[in-house]
Amino acid sequence: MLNNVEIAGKQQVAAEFAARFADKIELIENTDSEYMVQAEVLLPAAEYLLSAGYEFLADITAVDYLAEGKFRLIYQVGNYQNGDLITLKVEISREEPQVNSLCAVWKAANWLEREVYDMFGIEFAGHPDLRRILMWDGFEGWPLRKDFVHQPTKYQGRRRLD
Amino acid sequence: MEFVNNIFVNIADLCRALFVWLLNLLGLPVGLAEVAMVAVYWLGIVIVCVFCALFYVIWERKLAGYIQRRPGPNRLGPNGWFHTVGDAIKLVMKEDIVPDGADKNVHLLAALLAFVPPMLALAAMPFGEGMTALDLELGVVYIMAVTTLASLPVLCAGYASNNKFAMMGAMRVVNQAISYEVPQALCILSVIMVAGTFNLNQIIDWQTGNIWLVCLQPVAFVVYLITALAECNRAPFDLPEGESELTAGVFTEYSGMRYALFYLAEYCNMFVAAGLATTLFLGGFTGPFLPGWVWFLLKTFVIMSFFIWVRWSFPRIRADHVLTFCWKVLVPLMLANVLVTGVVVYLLA
Amino acid sequence: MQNLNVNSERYTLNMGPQHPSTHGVLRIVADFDGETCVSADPQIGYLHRGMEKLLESRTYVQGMPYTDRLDYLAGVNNNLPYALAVEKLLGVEIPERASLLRMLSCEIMRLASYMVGIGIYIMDLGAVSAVFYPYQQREYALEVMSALCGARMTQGYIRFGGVQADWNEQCDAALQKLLDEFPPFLEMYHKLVDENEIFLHRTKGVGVVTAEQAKAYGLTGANLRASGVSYDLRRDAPYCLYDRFKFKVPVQQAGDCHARYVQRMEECEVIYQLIKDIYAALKETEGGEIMGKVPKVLRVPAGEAYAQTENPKGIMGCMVASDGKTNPLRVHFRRPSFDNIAIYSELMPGHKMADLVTIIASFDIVLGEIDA
Repeated sequence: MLNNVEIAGKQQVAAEFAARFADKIELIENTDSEYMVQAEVLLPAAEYLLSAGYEFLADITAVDYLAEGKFRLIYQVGNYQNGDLITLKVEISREEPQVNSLCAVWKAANWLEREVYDMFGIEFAGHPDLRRILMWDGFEGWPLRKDFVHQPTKYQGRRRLD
Repeated sequence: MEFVNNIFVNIADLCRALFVWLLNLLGLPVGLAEVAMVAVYWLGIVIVCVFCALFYVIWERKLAGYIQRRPGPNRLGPNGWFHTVGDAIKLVMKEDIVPDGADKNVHLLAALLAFVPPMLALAAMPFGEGMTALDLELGVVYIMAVTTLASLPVLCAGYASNNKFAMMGAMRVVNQAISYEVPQALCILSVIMVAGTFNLNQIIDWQTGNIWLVCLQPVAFVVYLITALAECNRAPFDLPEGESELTAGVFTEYSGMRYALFYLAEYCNMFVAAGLATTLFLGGFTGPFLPGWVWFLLKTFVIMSFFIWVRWSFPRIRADHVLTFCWKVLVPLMLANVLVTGVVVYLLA
Repeated sequence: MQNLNVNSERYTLNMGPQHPSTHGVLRIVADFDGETCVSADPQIGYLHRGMEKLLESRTYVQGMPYTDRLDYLAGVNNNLPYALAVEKLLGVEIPERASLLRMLSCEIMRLASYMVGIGIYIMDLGAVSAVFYPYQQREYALEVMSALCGARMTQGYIRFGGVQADWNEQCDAALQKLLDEFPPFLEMYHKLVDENEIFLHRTKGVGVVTAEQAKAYGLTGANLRASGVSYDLRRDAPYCLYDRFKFKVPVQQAGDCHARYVQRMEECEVIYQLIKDIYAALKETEGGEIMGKVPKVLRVPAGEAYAQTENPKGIMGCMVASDGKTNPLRVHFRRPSFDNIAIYSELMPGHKMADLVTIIASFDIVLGEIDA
């Protein structure tokens, strides 16, 4: 518990982000807690958030913006003390989908990143165990990408999966 | 009254007379009649086995329904009392499945052997006045010995199935059977020390002349019931079957008639345990007004209902707790009981 | 004796996907040394229906019934985050009565879900009878929902902008039945289970999740609160009109399987009281609107919105990304059970085989939600 540490609110986070990652992190318009984060400062930003009392990694997901050639990763980080929610959005190119893993910061990231990897094929550098999670191991393709071609449903023969 | 009390004895005598008459007619030695009578006794025991299995399966389901506030089986026959018969027919007609990797002979043998120990035990059980097929001087020891065998078919089943769950279950059977044998033997020892005989009928006589042994050995009675549950692999000691962790434990690879044999044998084993409890602690077949064999069935019925009640009320004990409970609680307790009994018997003698 | 080196062979045991106590099709590949678990790896996905992909090819409204199938024990609760996220993008005003109806139906289904969770928990420990009493109470709860919207389990009761149907007299009678039957049941169940020696031996000190572990793994719901972290979205980040109501958030310190049972039982009382309070508030808004102003054909403005609610299993989140069309660009659900079971591979090693069952049962998971 962080009883003796003063719990950072949304304002402190905004101020700290502005001070430390001046042009790397910017607040999204009309919001008070959603940030567009450059991929290279994701890890330090996450580490800062954890140290500021944001111990709850609620969600990691991605959106495929095919037209713009980008994946947008969306991280929801919560605070167990005051119920705040900070949203970090990271844009990475579709050609080279890679981003730093946050497993070292929040253990919850392990499965959430595996799910994103499974569905979008985004590589998380430094992930200890990057395997498919919902789809089976022999599955080919990344189902939630917009250019995913539905496979014909045909019998693929009897085989052992493990 | 006298007639009803002796009805089975009379039937046996009639059979014997019939055999003697037949043998005389054929010119064979009359001594063969006793050999033929073994078949009659055996038939009688089979009938008791089948009756108790069929009856107690449906009674368990009815009682469970009552405990769980639901009607229970109520379709086939009056109030659903023929359900077990229907189930048995269904199970007989099901496909006989033996897994690929199983040891086929042992797999079958295990199911067939399941009924043997309870039937052997029932041979020495005093059902009523003069109604003991095999009145042994060491009746108690004999029953102890054959009921121990009951874990053997289950072990065979687990080993032959070639399944990890089944193997785990088989290991647990052996663990449990060996461990609980000890406090159970000590329970019976306490009874024998008081009654001064190994003969079941003489133990009953002693109780008729004095007092039911449950009053003199209440601790032994309670511990006996607990160990009986464990010996029969009944909940809360149903670890070998352990549905929630081992799917169906030793019976995972059994289906159809083979499973039914195990299932019915479980009830027969319970019936033996209840019968022994009745004989040792509750005065056996003695009782006023009603015929002896009715008293026996009534008393076993009460104990069986207790077993069923326990099963549907308690969670399952964890495997290591089962053994801890046996060796650290029951065995010391029963040793103390034997000691106290011995001292008291010595002082009074 | 402790150092006695016995050569034993480790073996791998597949618990599931077909297994009586993995609550569906969870598969745990566990290595055992005798009866003791050495390592455990939960494998999921056997119930994966591609929910998120399906929702992309349906309109927003068509997507709503799919959400019921996530945590199928509490359908309405899953509708809510989806509705809230879309409404955030739409910017619609929700009428007061509609909000109250949403909360009331959610609390009723929460109670129903807890009843299943507790009942199945005790049943997985081997006490089969213990499942029937809570199921009776769940039946009363489902009757209320049945009278309210015509469906028992997958209700699809919540609409964008409000709810599907208004409260009626049959609901009054059904709810009264639930309110009358529940307190005696709870008292009886405490007597049945709380002091049971076998139950205490099986659960105390088993599967201990410390507060630090719970936070690191993002546990939510009763599992988090059983580990000593008092966090409940209904109080800490209120949605709908939860800020109007005062209620206690119980919390346990032990973090073991027993604490999770006690936590759920205590929360049942809170839910019961909350149902009563919301019901009283609902009665004051008689005749109010139950639907906000929402266009017939939904064209949701482009953007991304995230909404989260406190579901029976934990915090359910829904992220909706729209590009202005009639169907969403991307819908993602944060499913609480999914995050809750990630801790299994750390929690299970060192426990006995039967404890694995206790741990799975104590977390009250639903596979429909894990696999989405």
